[in-house]
Amino acid sequence: MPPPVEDGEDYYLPLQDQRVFGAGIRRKRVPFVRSSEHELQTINPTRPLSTPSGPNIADTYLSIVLKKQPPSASPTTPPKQEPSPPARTTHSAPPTSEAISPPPPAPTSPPQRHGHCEICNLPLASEYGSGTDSDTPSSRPHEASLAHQVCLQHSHPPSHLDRTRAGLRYLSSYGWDPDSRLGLGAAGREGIREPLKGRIKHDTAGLGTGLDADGDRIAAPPPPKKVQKLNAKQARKGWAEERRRGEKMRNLFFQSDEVLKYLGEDA
Amino acid sequence: MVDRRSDPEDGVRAKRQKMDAGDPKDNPYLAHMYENTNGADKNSALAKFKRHQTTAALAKKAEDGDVNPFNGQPFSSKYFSILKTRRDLPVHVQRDEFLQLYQQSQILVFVGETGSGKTTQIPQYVLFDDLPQTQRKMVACTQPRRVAAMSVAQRVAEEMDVKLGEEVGYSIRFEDKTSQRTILKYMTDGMLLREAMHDHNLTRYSTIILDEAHERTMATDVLMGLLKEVVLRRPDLKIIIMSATLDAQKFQRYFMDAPLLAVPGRTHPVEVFYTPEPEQDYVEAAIRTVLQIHATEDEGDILVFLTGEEEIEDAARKISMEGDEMVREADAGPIKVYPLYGSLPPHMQQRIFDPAPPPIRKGGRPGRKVIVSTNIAETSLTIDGIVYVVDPGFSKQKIYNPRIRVESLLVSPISKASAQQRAGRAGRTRPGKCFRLYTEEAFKKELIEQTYPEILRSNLSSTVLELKKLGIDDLVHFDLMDPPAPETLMRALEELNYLACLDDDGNLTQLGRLASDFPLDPALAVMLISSPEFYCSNEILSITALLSVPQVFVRPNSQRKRADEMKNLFAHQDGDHLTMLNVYHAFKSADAQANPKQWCHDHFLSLRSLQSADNVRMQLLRIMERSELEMISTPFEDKKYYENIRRALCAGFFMQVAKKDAQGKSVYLTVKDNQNVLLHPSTVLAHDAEWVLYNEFVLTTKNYIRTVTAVKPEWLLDIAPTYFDIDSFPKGDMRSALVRAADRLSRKEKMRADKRR
Repeated sequence: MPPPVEDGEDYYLPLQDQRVFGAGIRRKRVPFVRSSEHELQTINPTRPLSTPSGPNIADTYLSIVLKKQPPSASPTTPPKQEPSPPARTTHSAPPTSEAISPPPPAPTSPPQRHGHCEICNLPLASEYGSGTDSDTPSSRPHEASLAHQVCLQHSHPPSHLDRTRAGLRYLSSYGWDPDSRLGLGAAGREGIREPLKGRIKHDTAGLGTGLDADGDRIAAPPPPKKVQKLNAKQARKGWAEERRRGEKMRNLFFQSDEVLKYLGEDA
Repeated sequence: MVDRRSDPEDGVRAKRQKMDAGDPKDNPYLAHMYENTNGADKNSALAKFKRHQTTAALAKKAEDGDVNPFNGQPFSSKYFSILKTRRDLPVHVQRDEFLQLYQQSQILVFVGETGSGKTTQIPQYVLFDDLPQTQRKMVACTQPRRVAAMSVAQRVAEEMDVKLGEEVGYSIRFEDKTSQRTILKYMTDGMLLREAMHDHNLTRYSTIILDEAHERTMATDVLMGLLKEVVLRRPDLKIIIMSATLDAQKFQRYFMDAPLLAVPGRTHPVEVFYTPEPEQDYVEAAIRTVLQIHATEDEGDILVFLTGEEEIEDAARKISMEGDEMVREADAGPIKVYPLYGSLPPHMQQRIFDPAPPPIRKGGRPGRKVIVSTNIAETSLTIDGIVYVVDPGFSKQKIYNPRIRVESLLVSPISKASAQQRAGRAGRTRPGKCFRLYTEEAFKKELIEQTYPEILRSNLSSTVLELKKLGIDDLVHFDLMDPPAPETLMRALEELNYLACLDDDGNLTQLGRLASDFPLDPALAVMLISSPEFYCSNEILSITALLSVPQVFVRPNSQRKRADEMKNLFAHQDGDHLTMLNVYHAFKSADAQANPKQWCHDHFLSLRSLQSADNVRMQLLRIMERSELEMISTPFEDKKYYENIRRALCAGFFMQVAKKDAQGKSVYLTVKDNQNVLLHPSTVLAHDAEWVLYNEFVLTTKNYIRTVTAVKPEWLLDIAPTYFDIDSFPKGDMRSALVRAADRLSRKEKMRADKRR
C-alpha cells in the first residue's frame, strides 16, 4: 500500500504538541488570591514544605520501590528515628487524605508500636521485621496493607432520593438521615432500605429453570433475530460481498511473498 | 363503635341492679373497691375464682357443672358432647402450663400448629382466668379474615353454650354482632385497629389475643407495634400472640423476650418429593402429576396449588378431561375436579367439601377428589381428606412500587415457609405426600425464607393516616417488626399531603381526621367527604360503595358477547364510573327489585356484589350522617348532573389521571409518573378522551388502566392546583396541554367577570 499523500496546505501537529485550549489560555489569566488560612493542612505538618521537595519525593518513591535502601543513600530525607507526628495519631482519617500524603517512613506511623492496630485488629509488625510476613516492614507501613484498608470506614455515595421531596422533609424532621444507609424503625432493628422489587412473569416456566447447575441465574437468551427475506438482487449482492470478504481473509492469512514471486503476480 | 354509657339499655340495666341488690359490692362500677368479690353470682361456679390465680382443675370443675357460669342457664346436652371433643384437643393437655405463663407475664407468645385448637380454646381458657366480666372489660381475639372471625365466633358460642352475639360475639367491617353482655369478641385485626384510633389505650379490653400473627397482615403488624407501646401505659393489659409457624422466636425477640409456649399440632408425617430437573412448564407438570398420582397412588384426595383464576379453570378442565379418558381406557377410578379461588361464588366454594365420588361399579377403583386452588387453601381454608399436595412453587403476590405508585399482583416464587405450609396440608388426616415441581436445589437457593409481610408490599397511605390518627407522629422510630422502605413511606406522606389529609408540616388536618373515620382508602374517603361541594354526594356514595366491592359485571367465557351486549345497556359514553352508577340505579328500581336474582342473571350482573355494595353504602351513609355531611343530588334533568359527578371524582382521583399520548394512537401517559398505559378492553368509554382518570392500574403483559372516566384538564387545575402545578411539569406535551387549559380557564373567568360588570 502506498503511504497517504501529504497535503501541502494542511499541516499536521503531533498530538502532544497541540494546545488544548488554543492560545487564548495564555493571554487570559485566571486570577488567584492567597488563602486567608495560610496552609491547608492536608499533609504531614512536620515535613517542611519549604525545603526543595524534588529530591524528597524521589527519595520517598525510591524507599517504596526499592526494598532495603541504605539510609546513607539519601542525605536529604529526615532521619528515620524521628518521633511520630501528633497529627497522625488518629487513624480514622479518610482514605483520600491518606492517598495524598506521601507514605511516611514506617516506624513513625503506627500509634502503638508493638500492639494491635485499633482499626483492623491485626498485630502491628515490629520495627525491624520480626513479624512473619514482614518482608519490608520499614518500607511498607501498616496502613498500606490490604487488611487495614478494607477495615477503614469508607464514605458512601449519597442517597439518590430527591432532597426536595415533602416526604423526605417529614422523615428528616424525625431524625432520619437518607445518607445513613439505614432503614426506618427502632434503633437496632431498622428495616429495609429500598422497596421490594417485583418481576413480571409472562410464561409458565417452572421454578429454577432460569438457573444453571450451580444455582446462579442465567441471563435470558437474546430474542431470536428476525429472518429477513431478500430479493434476487440483494441476494446476489450479498453473495458477492461474502466472496470478496473471504478472499481478503485468505490473502491476509495465507498470502506469502515467496509464493507470489513464484507465481509472478508481482509483475 | 358502641359506647356503653350512652346506650339506654345499659343504663336501665345498671339502674335495676342498683335497686334490686342495693349492695354496693354488687355494683360493677365499684368492683375495684372490693377486690375479693368478682362480681359473679354467688351461686355461680366462678364465685370462688380469684382472678389470675386459677388452675385448670378449677376451670374443669366449672365446665363440668350443671349451670353455665357465664349466663346462669343450665347446660344443654349438646354442650357436654362438644366438651368431650374439646378435651381431646392437643392444647388441652397444656392448659395448666398455659395458665401459669399467662398469669406470670404480660405478654405471651403461643405457638400451635394448625389443628391444635388454639383459636377456639385459648380464648376460653383466658375467660376462666381473666374473668373480664368482673372488670367490665372484654377479651378480644383478632383474625386476619372476616370469614374466620365469623365462623370461629359461631363455633365458640356453641362450645360455651351461649347465643352468638351475647357472651360471645364478633365484629367485622360493616357488621357488629356484639352486645352489652359480650365478654369474648372475635374481630378482624383491622377492626381492633379502628377501635384503637378512638381509644388509644384499648381500655375496653383486659386481654388481647392476636391470632394468626404469622400471616403478618398489615393491621396485625401495626397492632403489634401499637400494643408494644400500650403495655407500658397499661400494666393490667395482657397480650397473647398466637402464631402457627416456626418463626415464633422472631415474635419473642420483638416482644422483649416474652415467654413462649409451644403446643404440637395433630399432624401426620408428610413425605416430600422434588423433581430432579426444573420443569419447563409448571402448569402442564402439575396436570401430569395429578394424573400420575391418580394412576399409581392409593386412595386420597389431591390439592393442587396454582396462581390465578384463569390458570385454575383451565387446569381443572384439562384434568377433568384427561381423568375421564383414564376411566375409559385404563379402568381408573372416577375423578372429580373442583376449582377454588377467592372470587368464586360461595356455593361453588362450598362444593370442595363434597366427598370424593364413589367407585363406578361395586369393587371398582375408588374415586378421587381434586381441588385446584390459589393459595387460599394454604392457610384460610382447611379441607380434610387431602393426602396429596402438588406444589409448583408459585403464587400471586401483591407488590407495590412507590416510584410509579402501582400496586400489582404478580406471579412470584413462594417462600420456604409457604412451601412447608402447603406440604403440611397433606398430613391433616393421615400420612401424606407432597410433590414439589422444582428441584431441591431450587428450594434451597431460589426461595426466600419467609413471605414478605404485607406492610412491605403495599401502598401505605391508609396505614399512615391510621397511624397519625393513633397519635403516632414519629413514623421513623415507630417500632414495627418489619419497617417499610423509606421511599414507600415518603410516597404515602406525599399522597396524603396532596389529598390535604396532612398539612405541609405533616400534621393531621380536619379533613384527614374526618377521612380516617371512613374504612376506605384515603382517596375514596376524600372524594366522599368533598362530594357535597359538587352537589352529588348521593351519587358519589353509590360509586364509592361499588368501587369497594368485587366487580359487578359478570362475563362468563361461554357468553361473552351476550354479556357485553347487556353491559352496553347501561353504558355511559363518558366512562365506567357512570356506567356502574347506572347499573346501581337500575338495580334499585322497582323493576329489578321485584326479582333481583333473575334480573341480575338476565343482565349478567353479580347479585352478591350489588347486594354487598348496597350494604356498604348503608354503612357509609351512617358514617356520613354522623360526620354531618350533607346528602344531596343535582336534579337528574339538569345537564350538569353527570358533569358534577365527574368533577367530584376528580377530587379523589386526581393522582390517577392519564393523558393521551400525542403520537400514540390509543396510548395514554400517566401524569407525573409517565407510564405508558392502555385503556382496559372492558371500558365503555365511547369517545377519544384526551384526559381520563382511572381507578386501577393493572400490570400484566401490557399496562392497563381499568374503570376509567373522561375528565377535563380545567377541572383538574381547578380542583387540585397543588398537584397540577404547571411549573412542576417538565416541558412537553403534557405541560403545554395544561397551559392551554389554564388559559381557557382564565379567559372564561374574565368573560364571567365582564358579564357581571
